[in-house]
Amino acid sequence: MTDYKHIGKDFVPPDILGKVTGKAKYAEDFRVDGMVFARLYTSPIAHGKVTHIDTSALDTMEGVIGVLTADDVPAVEAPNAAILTNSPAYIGDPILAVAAVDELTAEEAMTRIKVTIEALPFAVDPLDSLIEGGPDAREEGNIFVRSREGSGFRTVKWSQQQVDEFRAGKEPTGEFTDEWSYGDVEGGFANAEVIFEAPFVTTGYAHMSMEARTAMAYWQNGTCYVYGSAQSQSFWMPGLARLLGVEMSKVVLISENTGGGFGSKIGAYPIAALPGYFSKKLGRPVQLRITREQEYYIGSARVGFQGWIKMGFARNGRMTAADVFIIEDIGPNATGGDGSSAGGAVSLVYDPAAMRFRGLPVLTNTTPRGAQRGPGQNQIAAVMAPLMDRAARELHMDPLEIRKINAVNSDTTVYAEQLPVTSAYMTEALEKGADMFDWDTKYNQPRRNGNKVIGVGIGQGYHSAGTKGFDGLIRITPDGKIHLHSGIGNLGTYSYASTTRAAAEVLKCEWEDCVIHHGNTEANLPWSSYQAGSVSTFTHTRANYVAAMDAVDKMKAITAETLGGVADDYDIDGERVFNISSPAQGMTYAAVAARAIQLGGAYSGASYPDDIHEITQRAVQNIAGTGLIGVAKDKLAQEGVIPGLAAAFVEIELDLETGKYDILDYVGIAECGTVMHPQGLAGQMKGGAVWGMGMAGLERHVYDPQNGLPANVGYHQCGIPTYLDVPAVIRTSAVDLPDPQNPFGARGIGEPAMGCSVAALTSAISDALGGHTFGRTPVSRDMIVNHIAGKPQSFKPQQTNNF
Amino acid sequence: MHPSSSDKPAAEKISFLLDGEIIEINDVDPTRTVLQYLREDLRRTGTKEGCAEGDCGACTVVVAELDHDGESVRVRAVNSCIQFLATLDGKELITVESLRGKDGSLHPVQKAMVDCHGSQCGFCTPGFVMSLLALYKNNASPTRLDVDDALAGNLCRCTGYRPIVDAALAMYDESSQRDASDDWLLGAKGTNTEKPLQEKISKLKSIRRTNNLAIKQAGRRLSSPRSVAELADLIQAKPDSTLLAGGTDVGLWVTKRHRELDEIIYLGNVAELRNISVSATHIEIGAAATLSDVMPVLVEHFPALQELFVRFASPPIRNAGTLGGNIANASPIGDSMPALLALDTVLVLREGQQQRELPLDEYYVGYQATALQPGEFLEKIRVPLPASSSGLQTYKVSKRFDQDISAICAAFCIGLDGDEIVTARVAYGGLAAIPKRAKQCEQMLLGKAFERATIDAAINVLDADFQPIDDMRASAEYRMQVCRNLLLRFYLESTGAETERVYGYNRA
Repeated sequence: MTDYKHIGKDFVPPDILGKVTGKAKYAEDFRVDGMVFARLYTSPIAHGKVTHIDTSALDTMEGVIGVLTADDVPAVEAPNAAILTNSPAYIGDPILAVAAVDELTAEEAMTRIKVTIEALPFAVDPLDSLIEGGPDAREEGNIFVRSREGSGFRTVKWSQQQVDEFRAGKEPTGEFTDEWSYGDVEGGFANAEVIFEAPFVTTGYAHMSMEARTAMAYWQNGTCYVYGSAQSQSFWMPGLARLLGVEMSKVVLISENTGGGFGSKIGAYPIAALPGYFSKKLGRPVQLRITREQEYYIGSARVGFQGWIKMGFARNGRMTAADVFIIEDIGPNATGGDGSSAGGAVSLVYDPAAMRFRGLPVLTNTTPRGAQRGPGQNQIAAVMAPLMDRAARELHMDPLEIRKINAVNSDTTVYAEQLPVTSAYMTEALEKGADMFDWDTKYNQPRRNGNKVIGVGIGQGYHSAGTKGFDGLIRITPDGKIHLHSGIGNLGTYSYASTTRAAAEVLKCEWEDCVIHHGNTEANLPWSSYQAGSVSTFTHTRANYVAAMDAVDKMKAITAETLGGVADDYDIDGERVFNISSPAQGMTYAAVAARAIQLGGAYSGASYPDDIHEITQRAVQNIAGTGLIGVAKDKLAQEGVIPGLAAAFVEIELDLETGKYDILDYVGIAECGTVMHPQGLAGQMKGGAVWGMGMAGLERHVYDPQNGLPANVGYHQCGIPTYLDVPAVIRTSAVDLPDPQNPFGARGIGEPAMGCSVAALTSAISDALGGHTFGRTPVSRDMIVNHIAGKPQSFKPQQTNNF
Repeated sequence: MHPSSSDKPAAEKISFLLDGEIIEINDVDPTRTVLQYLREDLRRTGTKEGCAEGDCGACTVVVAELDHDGESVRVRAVNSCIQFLATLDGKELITVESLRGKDGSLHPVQKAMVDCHGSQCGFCTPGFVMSLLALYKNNASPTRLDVDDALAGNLCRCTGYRPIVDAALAMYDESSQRDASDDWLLGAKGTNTEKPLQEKISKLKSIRRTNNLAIKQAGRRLSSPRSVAELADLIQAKPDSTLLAGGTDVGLWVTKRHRELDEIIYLGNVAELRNISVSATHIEIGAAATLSDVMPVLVEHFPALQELFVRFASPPIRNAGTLGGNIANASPIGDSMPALLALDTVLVLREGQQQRELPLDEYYVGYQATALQPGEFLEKIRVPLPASSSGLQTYKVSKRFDQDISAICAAFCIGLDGDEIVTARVAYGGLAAIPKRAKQCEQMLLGKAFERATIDAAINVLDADFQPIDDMRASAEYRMQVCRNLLLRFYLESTGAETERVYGYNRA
């Protein structure tokens, strides 16, 4: 293993000090002179048309500054989300905003506004919309297909018989809109020893970041300053500029800290632009802090699935074929795409010899959907785990063995296109986890103890974990400081900081000599990827690597130019550039930086590569002449799918009388290449484990089908896990084998960390119940007790978003 | 009129300590929350609002006050989002900003959070830090269960909680760059030297109020009487007043429902109402005694309540909320009522000078409706002693382990004479519009032998006692199934069938 100075070592992220002392500033913590406070009026009905708005009562109300309606903001075409709308398509759709001297006054103003809304039919369960004569969530249709070939509304209906058969667990025969496949699916099933079909439902639910989102904005000399709750930094800029209707160079985004995102704040979302328009209208800075309840509406939610799967297995346990059909609940704004991602995950994690995926995205009048930690991959992880156990049982195999036989490795080809992977070590992850968990002993232990029964389960998680082509930017100043510019954003994983350590590693410098610049467009940040999709680690260790390599090349060239010889005569040691054959001859980093300023050109940033993004170009222009600039676009070789993988093992004890279970043991193994930041990785694995526990047993949307009213609009209603709901000890480790397509061997992990958990827990519940598969997440106490008592469940088969 | 507890006129300003300084506020808005005061008035934004309903703990602050004896300091974590500022009168408010030294040095709690990587997005962190501070000041060497309990009111969506637990265990070994002998906040329980402790006590004494408080602001009034007699007069004079005890529910009326409360009477300074006394015949609990104060006394006499109380809301809520409030609020899902019903609890109600006793069983007359008359209030709660209640057992079934509203809460109290059931009190919450005893089930038990056949027969009539509804916490079917299961479980456990209890599993 390479002996690194920074990679693989713990460090104290600089901003953690502000977090424990209360100094860290989130969007809602900023105040500027003259700032006023906005609150939202959101739709009280699930689908309708605003016919009249009467705000006359506010004309004389003390403290009210102004009103913003849909007429004040750009109209958008359905089904896309608007900043404000007169065509609300879910309860909570923002209709107008009021600004006042304080939030309480703005709230009070809401109660004096009269909004008349003409009600339209609505649907909260995709199957209710899909059935003949069922309501459409949008007047334009009940389906919206997003595709490169052309996006658009469709109306798709299934006959009563088709819906009934689907509810009965049979293969869907109704129309679908998306299909891909590889291999000989029919032949795969023909060669199978064991074949079974299973229906499934995964209920969507809100992200529930701890911070309800806030945006504040004002204009200065034609530039809009936005203080936002953003998951990404540079990546927000194109979308934010588009929403505000200005050039990207006319927007400044300040987002020093963000209270969680989990996929709900990846790019600029419409409500983040509201204060920009309101501020323009009022001529004053405006802050909009939404309520916790509104965060449940506007904050987006995981896509729900109603699906059917058929799998075939050979006698040795290899999966010969898989056939997956998924109806996606894509909410009112047609956001998601989880279905096909789920299909992709089946192809990668279980490597069926042949596979077909069919999908149908259905609009509903429920909370808008969006990417949520492992979108698609983590829903299907929960579906697959108990079914893999079922296959193992029917083949008289150990559930660990059947997973190892089908495990993804570096030779596996994946997805419809049968692409290669950069590297994959799922077998190693399973073996390491089984060893730590003592799978053999736990799997073979006695299970029943009075009214309690033990269950054990194994889960596997996957998400693609990297991308490429972004820019790196570093700067060495004449005081010897190394400035690391990070445009990733800061939602709490500290990857904005940990990835810059790649540059420090290349420069061999002390971490104490490094200064990280982040959190504000004006801090001269490069074009960086979204901080989501588990991509930051792979993507930005590469970007920082290429920028630092550019700096090293320049340092050697400057030294050669100053002291004589050629660049290759020189090397660096962390403080000096020295002559390899005569180490006493050299220059300090500080001296090189001063010389770079004198020499100008590319050395000082006066010129720069023309392939870097315009955002990076502006950053370089601003810092040109202040030191030695290392800047480059990541053009390192990259081919194939970059997998982030994880495996988990869970032991539970289930109470047969109440349906409650305790999690006794949890082991999570990361397979994410080289470990960059051990504490950060452990944090991801533990946090992801708790997310999986919430998804497996607790978190779900609940809608009243009569009125379309959401019931889970508070933490206590949705019930995310407190820490007494999760095991006393969560053990984690990592395979720690390098990936060949990253200079340090690293890949990402955030999402698989959750997928392996929800899968393992669902598997363990099934195991405790003698192999019964509910085909549904979350598995509630009700479902467990009804099953044990031999009673019917309280919902229709394949029903979703139900009580 | 009764003579006032002091002859001085009622004060119109509140006084409290913040960062060691005395803060005085004239005519504070009665429903201004501590969080609004911190974030909006002082611009101290370290304290966060996560939910505005006392559920997530991001707004946790610590309140220090003189203990009942007046010679020691008691420290508790509370949710600032639902705590009215006026209730800080005479106390010290400690926020996350209070912990950091002037030299920028970290408090041991903060240092442990950094070292253990206990913060990711950081939004919940100030609240966790303050819950940890309360633990640090209250417990010299916490067990894992103590840590569990101390952190149960704080939600985190990033860390998976474990790094924060690690910090809780590590914080006692952290040192500070500051001189701990001179700084009360720096010393863990039992480690403070006399000097800072005495300074703290004398400073709190200096703002201790002896007269009443009467605040008027923007058409709203808050009165804080100091005796029951004064309280009784106030309520008689204004029977529509809102009685404010811990504010864990009233706070929500304001922050979530934006209700205007024109007349508030705060009970927290009525010393008699915070008393808890134990005699040969009963435990008598003042209606404004906090759940945190009441629970240890009840558990001492009824150990079966231990698990229920650990799972009752969360520490910040129990530190503020009162048993009287839980009862008077008349929620069908209040967690104390089934147990109190099973213990044959009696309420002492008062109107002016008149007191009357009413069995708790007769107090609830309908959904959130009680037998309280206008002008009448709950003064005391009497739980009979001795243990005719040896057979008490309680069960709480909720989605989450703690800090959750019960789908079902059950309490059984069975007294035996030999093998014969001579007392049978079976009470459930969550199965009807009110917390309710299962009278038909009880009749099936009384006078019968305590054996499986009797229990089976009693289980079979539970359908006649309860017709629960479906809601998002549980289906009606589940509720009835588990209602029956729990009575059977009680029987099996009482007769020695070895079963694990829910709490304590794989933890302690």
